[in-house]
Amino acid sequence: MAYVSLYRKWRPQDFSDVVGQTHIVRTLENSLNLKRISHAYLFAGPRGTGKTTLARLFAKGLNCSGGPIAQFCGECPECMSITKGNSLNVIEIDGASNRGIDEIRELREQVRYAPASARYKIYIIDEVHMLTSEAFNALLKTLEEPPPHVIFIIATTDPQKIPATILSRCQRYDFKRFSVEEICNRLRVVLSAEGVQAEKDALEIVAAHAQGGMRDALGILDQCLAYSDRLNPDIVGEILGVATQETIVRFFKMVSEHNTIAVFQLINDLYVRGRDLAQFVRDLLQYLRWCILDSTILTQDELNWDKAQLIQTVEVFSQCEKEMRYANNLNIPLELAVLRLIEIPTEWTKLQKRIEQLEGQLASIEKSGVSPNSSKAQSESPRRAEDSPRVKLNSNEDNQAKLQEICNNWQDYLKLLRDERLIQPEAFLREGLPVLLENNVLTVSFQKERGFHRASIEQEKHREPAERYLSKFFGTQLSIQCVTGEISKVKKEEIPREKQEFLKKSGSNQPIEQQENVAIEKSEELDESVSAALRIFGGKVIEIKDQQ
Amino acid sequence: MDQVLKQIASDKLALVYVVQGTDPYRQKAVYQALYDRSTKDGFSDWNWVTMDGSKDLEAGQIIEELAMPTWGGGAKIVVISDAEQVRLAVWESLVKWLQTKTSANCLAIFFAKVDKRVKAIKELIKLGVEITCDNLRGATLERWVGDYVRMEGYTFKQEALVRFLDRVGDDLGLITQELEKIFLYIGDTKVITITDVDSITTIVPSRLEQGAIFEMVDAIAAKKQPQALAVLHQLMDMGEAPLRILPLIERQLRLLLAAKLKGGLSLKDAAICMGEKSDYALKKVTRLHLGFSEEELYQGMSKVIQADQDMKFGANGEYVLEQLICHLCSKSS
Repeated sequence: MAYVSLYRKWRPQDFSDVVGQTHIVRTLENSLNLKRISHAYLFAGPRGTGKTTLARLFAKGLNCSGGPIAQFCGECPECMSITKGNSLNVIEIDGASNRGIDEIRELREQVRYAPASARYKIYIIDEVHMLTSEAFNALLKTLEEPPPHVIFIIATTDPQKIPATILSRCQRYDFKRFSVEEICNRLRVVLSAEGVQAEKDALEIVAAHAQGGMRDALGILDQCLAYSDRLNPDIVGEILGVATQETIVRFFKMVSEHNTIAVFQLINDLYVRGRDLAQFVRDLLQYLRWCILDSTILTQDELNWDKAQLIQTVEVFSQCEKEMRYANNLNIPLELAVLRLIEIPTEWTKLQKRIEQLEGQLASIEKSGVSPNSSKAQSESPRRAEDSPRVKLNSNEDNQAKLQEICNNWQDYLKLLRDERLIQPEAFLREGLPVLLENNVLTVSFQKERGFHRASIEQEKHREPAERYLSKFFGTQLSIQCVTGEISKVKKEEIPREKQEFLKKSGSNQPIEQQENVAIEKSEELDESVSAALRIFGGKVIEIKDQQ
Repeated sequence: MDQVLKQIASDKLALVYVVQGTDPYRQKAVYQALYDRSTKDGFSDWNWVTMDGSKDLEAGQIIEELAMPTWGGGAKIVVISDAEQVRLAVWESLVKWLQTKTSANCLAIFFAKVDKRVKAIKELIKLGVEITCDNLRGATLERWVGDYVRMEGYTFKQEALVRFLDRVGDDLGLITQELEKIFLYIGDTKVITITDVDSITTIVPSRLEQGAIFEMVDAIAAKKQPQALAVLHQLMDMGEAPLRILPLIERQLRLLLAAKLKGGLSLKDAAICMGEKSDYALKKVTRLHLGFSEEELYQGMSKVIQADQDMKFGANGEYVLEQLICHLCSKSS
């Protein structure tokens, strides 16, 4: 005998066999037992949720020799013929391939004739949303008042596409997606009957991948059984190309432990094994989604993450998924996302850090003998820029300390700009680095090739909001000045070491002192010839090339 | 309405019945009463003539049927459905004829919508009886549903009745379909509860936006994430597009914001300021805004913009909306 796929073999044959959809099963059973039968039914819901199955069971209940009854015998000729799919009185029509007016006219002709040997003539029209509007109109009248021996059951995955005139003539039942648990239970029944052993986690992966559709779940199971007669998460993951829950949890655990190297190794391992990293990110997101929807999935033993952290992680990986669409090398966005998660501190630690910082400042003020409450300005809210204390940072130490604070919190400031939808100023400033603070003027240095960013941020429309939020964020009135590697103006000793590194990269590989000297020499050398040229031709200097 | 149906069943039929209104269910009830009356004398369809209204229908055709003697002495009824399709000249000719032949058969005209300022229509109404079949609303609708349910031997809990009408709307045809489902679902239990309504009734498309979205926003306002997500999934299962749901969440946030920040303005003025046609929607959210701080609402709006952008760049709409709801429902949002 030819092989029959699992979803066909295990299609429920009576109402008690149906998984889920209890609200519909109960209503249809009562309808049969109370003999309150409507002339038209609409079964709507996602694919693989049991629409056609319940339509056939309902047809059996209607036409069974002892019926209409919910507990039909399944043995009378009519029940048997419906099970075999060769009943003359249950006509199944595929709406997708019989969608024209001619087919519906033909149906209207046939409807007039009484059933061959049963109580009712039942028309099951699947994928009814595919009918043309003319066909729908032709069906209207028949659907409204069909002969008493005719019952229509129309099924669709897309009820929005069905005209309201059709909808109002049918008793509508909405089928819901199956839960993972319902699918797992059914799969367990099927597998035990088939004599196959399967691990719980493996079934959960299958159920999750089926997205609420039982047919999909059984289809995947079929695929897995063709590969191996023992199912474990690794085999299922291998076949479906998805990451196992164990891998995902391991990944997140490494992230929560800030173990960057281990995470990178894991990513590389997946890459080497030929796994689709984009799919891996989707699996991560799917897992996080479950964690948010159902807090019981992720136990506290596995990860000590609260909901805010979960949401933050989802946001980072959603961004990563977007970036992956345009990336040539999928590793990079994923690794960047990991870095973002590990490097960017959580809200709580950020707040804690800020509080510690403020407490430190308060202590130093108190140490210097000034009461923190002595200045009225200090007690005012620093939220609004115009209200913020216009502290003049005159001493070198003040400037250095403030610059250090700005450098430490520069990324947070940029994030604030992003949050405030100041996307452009943020994008321009992201390319620069604060290098000097003098007389409340913050000097931001840009690499040579970032001239556009520097020019853009210098425009009033971008500079003004950037300065406003800079003052607001750091609680001091600050303005921005931009330079392109013009470190000659910057006192070298005032530049923090890491910024010096940045400036090194922005110019040549020469040491910063030499770079400075070359710039000065060049400007001195060229002064005469360039100024002469400018005098004669006018214009401005863009680039100076040697005669050679 | 019941009075008119009784009169049709037993009294002398009027010369003309002008049946008009937006509720097809009640129109159908009149149609059925007229049909039952015409067949009462045992001559079945012999005394029953129906004509579909169209531009081609001529006054002569109608007059011919009206002038024809009845079979067996019973009442003959000529029904014109979709009467709004018929040309005005036909009604004018018909009025002239009917004014002279008061002993003609009964004419029943069914309009979905009629302009009663038109002279010919005014004259037709004067010659007979006008039956209005507009949708029932408010307390009248509740009473109708209550009576219908009692007639079937069931009772509604008040909150279940409110929820039911919220989900199903005011189309009596749909109401009876959904009630039938509830009766079958609850079986021997004779009291309909809110859980029964939620379990088996379908939110009709016209109520989808209002009913479900309020259910969802109520849940968000109460920071009840599971309920909000359940409604979202219900909407998605019904095939609702995520990009259609998002503006509704955004509108609700705007309403909440307006309710919070209206200051000394009256609800009506606040509604006008934000471009709403009436203050109805604002009234509905006046209590709910207490669940949100001003900052939370602004953050929520910013997340809506982000969600919109994400969806338009190809992100999975359902996931994006889930994230948004999780954010709005989180205590620290």
